[in-house]
Amino acid sequence: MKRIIIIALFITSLVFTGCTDKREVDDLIIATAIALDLNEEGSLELSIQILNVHSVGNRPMDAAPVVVIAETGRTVQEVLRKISTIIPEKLFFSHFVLLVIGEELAREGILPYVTFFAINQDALHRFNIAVARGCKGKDVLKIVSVAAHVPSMSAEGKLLETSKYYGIGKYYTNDEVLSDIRSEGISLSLGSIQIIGDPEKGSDLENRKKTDLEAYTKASTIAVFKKDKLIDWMDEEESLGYNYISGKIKNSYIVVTKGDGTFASVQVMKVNSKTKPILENGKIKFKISISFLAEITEDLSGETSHDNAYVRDILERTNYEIRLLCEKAIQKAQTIKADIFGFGRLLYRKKYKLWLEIKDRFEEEIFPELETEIVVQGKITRVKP
Amino acid sequence: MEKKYISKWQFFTLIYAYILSHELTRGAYIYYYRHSSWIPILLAVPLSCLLFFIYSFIYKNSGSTDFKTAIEKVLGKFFAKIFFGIYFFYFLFIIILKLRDVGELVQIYIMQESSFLMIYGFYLFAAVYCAIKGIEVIARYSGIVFFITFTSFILFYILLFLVNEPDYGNLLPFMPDGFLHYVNPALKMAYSVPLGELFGMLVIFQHVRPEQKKKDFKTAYIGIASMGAMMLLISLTNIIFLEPEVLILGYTPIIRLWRRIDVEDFIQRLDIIVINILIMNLIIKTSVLLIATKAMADGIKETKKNKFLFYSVIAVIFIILLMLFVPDYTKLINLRYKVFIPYVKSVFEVFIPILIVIISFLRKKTSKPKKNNLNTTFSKLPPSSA
Repeated sequence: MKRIIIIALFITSLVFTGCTDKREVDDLIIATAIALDLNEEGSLELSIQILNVHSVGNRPMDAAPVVVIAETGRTVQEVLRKISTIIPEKLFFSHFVLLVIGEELAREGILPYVTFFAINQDALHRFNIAVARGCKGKDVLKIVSVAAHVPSMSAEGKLLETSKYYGIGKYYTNDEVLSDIRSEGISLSLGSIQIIGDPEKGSDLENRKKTDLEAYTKASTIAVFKKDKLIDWMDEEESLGYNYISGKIKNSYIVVTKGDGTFASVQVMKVNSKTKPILENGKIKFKISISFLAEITEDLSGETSHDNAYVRDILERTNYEIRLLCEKAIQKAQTIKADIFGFGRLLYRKKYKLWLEIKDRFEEEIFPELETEIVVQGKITRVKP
Repeated sequence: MEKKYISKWQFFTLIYAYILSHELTRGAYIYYYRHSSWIPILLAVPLSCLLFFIYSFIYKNSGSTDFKTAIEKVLGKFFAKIFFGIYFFYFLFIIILKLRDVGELVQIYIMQESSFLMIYGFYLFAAVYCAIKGIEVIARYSGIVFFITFTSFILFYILLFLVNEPDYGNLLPFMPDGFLHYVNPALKMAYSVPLGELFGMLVIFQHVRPEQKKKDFKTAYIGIASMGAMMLLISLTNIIFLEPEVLILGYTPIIRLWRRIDVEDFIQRLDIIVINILIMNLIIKTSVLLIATKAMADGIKETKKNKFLFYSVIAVIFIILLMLFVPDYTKLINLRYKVFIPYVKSVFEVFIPILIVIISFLRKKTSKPKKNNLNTTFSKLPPSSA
């Protein structure tokens, strides 16, 4: 018996040496970013930014760190198979960090494509989805960057930092996007990225050798969707207001105008936001409470003060400015009838019976007329000398 | 010499592995119950314990510690043979379902280019090897797997909470369709996936060390209850970290959840670990079911001397059946939830066992029970066998 087992083990060890499905690291064709666009004929155009493994690391900067290849087709799967005619190995998707959707395609609807990546096992990791504002996603992938060697890393970093430390952008992953599109009571909103300058010149490696860049990518404001279709853009103030209401800001700033007309900068940190639905006399109202910690970092009058009255005055002005930003954001969303704050979702979760009654007319009739109460209460913890 | 008996702790770890392996195919319930999918699990835990309590009467009423003898005492030799025959095929059927799940899991997540033949071959090789070695070896293996699983879960759930932000709002609204909506799935969960299919464990119960046998029914209940708590925890974390609309993508949400753990691009892709854990537990379940199948075959005709041959033939039959008859996994999933669970498993896991228990009570009433029958039987067993 033992002999038979040993022989069987020996034979299997010869046949299967643990190399089934092996893929050598050097041979991997690593996709770092993907862009989805509509071409002139209205077909899907999928572009993939592929890492040039021979030019990353401590290697010369005169070779392109990435290559962008594109194909068109009717479905994502079809395009990916077509791409296999261009590249020698199977694409490795497990490390791509950014999915850029061209504005034109975003206006047509993104759900089918987002779903493909949500159920594709290679793409189950977290990656960011952003809209290419005013340009094609493919062009965004082509722009070479200076700060980060790989352009997709650079674009992803910009989106992340902008949402965390400025507040106009949004870092949103595939699962979150899919959830917002499919869930009741919320409209999708996404971060965006735009190209400043000439995209053609931006894709030239020479661009990186100049101190004044011909073209570069920049994280832009928030794109507002209805279901899965892009309908409008928020401006900087509205995007900031949106992020204050969402409580996503880790660190941002507010410029306040003091009584004497000079400006002061306040660094806002640890923003916390809570939204509560209130039912008053059969009318729905939402109370948004925002709290934060702040530091006075700059005063254009030339001097800062530790005086209580000075601090209180700046704080009140900061509270007012934040409230103003939030009101602008809500006003914009109400005008375009897109509940990006998820007020409907809150009703679904907390007042389910009421939600069943009003869900069909919520976004079109109730949300645009919705009353909100915004309470902003910050705390200034430091005045920088 | 092969050891025939296992301790109550080993029986507990076997139950643990047996139930945890069901995590693989739990997603289908989530499709229907989404953010409320934890409620039927909560309800299923006492129901599953109750079902095992009912099973226990097969041993208690017959006064036997051996499954074959117990069934023969209750049903008589002729009907017992029929019983063993149909359960032989039932256990084979469950193993085939499990094998197909493993094939799908491995091919989707780990080895896309590998053939099913190779996946089934390796998997069955491990399971059959365990079964040949006997229940005591499987139990020891399950003890090791238990510690690996438990430690991994604790460690990775800590990481999950540190790295990701839970949204407890995902659990709301609470029971939006009313309580009754969850009773039916709770019943199904109690006798099938994830907290059921435990009749096979009743067969294994005959191997529990005799002097601890009375306590070990309690061990089974504790095992089921603690695994129920574990399943509940997995469900709750699935819901609070994965949005309800994302939960329904795929049959194993835990894999998507563990992929969410990404510590500064350094600690990541932990889904591979959870897949390996699931496979380790599945091997235990398969080998336990193989032993149960062997016990059924022994009930019909003693095959003790041809153990190696028995399992080898069974393994080859599995592969042939799998390659020939179940190539379409989507069809299988549909059949599983629309036919097998409501009409097949309910019969084999609930109705037939309850019928046997009723007969055992009737027999007990008609024949005068001997005092301390159970203890007498225990004392007859040689102490060295433990």
